[in-house]
Amino acid sequence: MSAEGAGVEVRFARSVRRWLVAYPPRWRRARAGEITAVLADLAAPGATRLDVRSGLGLLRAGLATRRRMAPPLLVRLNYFGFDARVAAPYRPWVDDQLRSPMSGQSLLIVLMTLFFFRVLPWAMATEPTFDSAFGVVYFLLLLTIGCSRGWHLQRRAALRHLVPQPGEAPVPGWYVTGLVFHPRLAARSGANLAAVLVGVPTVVATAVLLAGRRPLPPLLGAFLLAGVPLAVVGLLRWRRGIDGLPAQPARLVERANGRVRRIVVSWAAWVALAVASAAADAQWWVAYAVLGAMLLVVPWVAAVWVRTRGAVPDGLALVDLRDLTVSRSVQVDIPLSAPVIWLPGAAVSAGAEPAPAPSGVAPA
Amino acid sequence: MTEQAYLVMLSLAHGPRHGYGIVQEVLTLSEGRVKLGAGTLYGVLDRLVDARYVEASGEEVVDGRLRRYYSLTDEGHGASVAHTRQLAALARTAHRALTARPATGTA
Repeated sequence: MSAEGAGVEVRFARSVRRWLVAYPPRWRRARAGEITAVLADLAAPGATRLDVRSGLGLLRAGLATRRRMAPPLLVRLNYFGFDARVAAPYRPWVDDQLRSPMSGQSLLIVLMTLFFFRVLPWAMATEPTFDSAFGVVYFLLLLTIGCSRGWHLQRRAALRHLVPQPGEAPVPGWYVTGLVFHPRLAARSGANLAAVLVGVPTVVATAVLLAGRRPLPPLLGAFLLAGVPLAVVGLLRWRRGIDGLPAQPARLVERANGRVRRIVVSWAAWVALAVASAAADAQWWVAYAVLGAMLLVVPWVAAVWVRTRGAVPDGLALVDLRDLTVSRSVQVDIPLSAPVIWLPGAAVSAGAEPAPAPSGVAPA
Repeated sequence: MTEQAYLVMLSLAHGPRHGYGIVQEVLTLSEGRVKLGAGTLYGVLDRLVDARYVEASGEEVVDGRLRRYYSLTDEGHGASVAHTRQLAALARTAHRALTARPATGTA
């Protein structure tokens, strides 16, 4: 049941949803509608947001619920540290971890990175190995967050941790391995995201270098020119190739949802932060490296963006444009193995939503 | 058993109630002293459901708002009765202790 029942003011329900963030996802899925209704009953008539006192109560209760529903420490350490499968009773907890923005393993990597780059040098009273240690940290954070959120990584992790293995009986209402459509990012939507992903770091790196009165060497222009042939090849091949695309019966072309957009924006922001952070430490090579790498792909991204402004087939995916650019032909997707909910007596269709909550993003 | 859990179980003694109904009944039972917040209420309900003292017993949508009803199980009823006896015994003991208190004061 959606939290936004007809009887609960939408802004109030949205406010409650924000305060419920401390609860585990599975608790929210089961109870958000109910607790929102109770809070609406308790609130003053016409309230459009939850009062802070009630909100803090929800945060406190949510953390307590999270603690209560978590497995013993040893099980958690085994999962976080060694990616070990946990016993069946704890798998709903793993499901929550896999649905969270940062999976357990990536959190561990982030903590280790911070430890080695910041805590350890501080504890040993020595300077960090890199002057721009924060820049390195940002890069690692970016890598970690990006990798941990990818749909395919989530799918593989879910298959490993959630689906019963040989010798284990499937449980009604829980996951089994099924086949799902291969999700692909729609070309036009993907072009917008690619423009953000490439454009923001390019602008920030350029601005940082100009603000620091650093020279923009001709080599950067060479990088830009080096990317042009790829864009030209792409434009030529798309002209012929897009109309002759094969049928994709196992593919699901989707526009980027909010989750994918957030991932892309956070990637772009992390790169920009890394550049700015390194520049503050006078580590200009970071800005030069980022700008050089971006300039290589700017022409192709610009070509994609321009091409997708015009009429394109509904089923055109960003990956098709990439494939046509590099190999003149596109791959025909096959259904993917993914966890699907097993409902005895109900046929599991290939369109079943894989778990955990798929982001819908696929590598372009 | 905490006082809040005890009051929630007492509020269900006369039949199933939804979350808001429980909050109101607890307020009445405690003579206005205990006002449960939603976070506290659902923490208590979760623990009571885990202990099998309380169970969800249906839901309905009223005026667009989801009402899930909770009821006391036989086990929960037994635990409530046992806890009430303990409290009554404690009250009697406390009463005896307090009435047997020697008078203090100067002669």
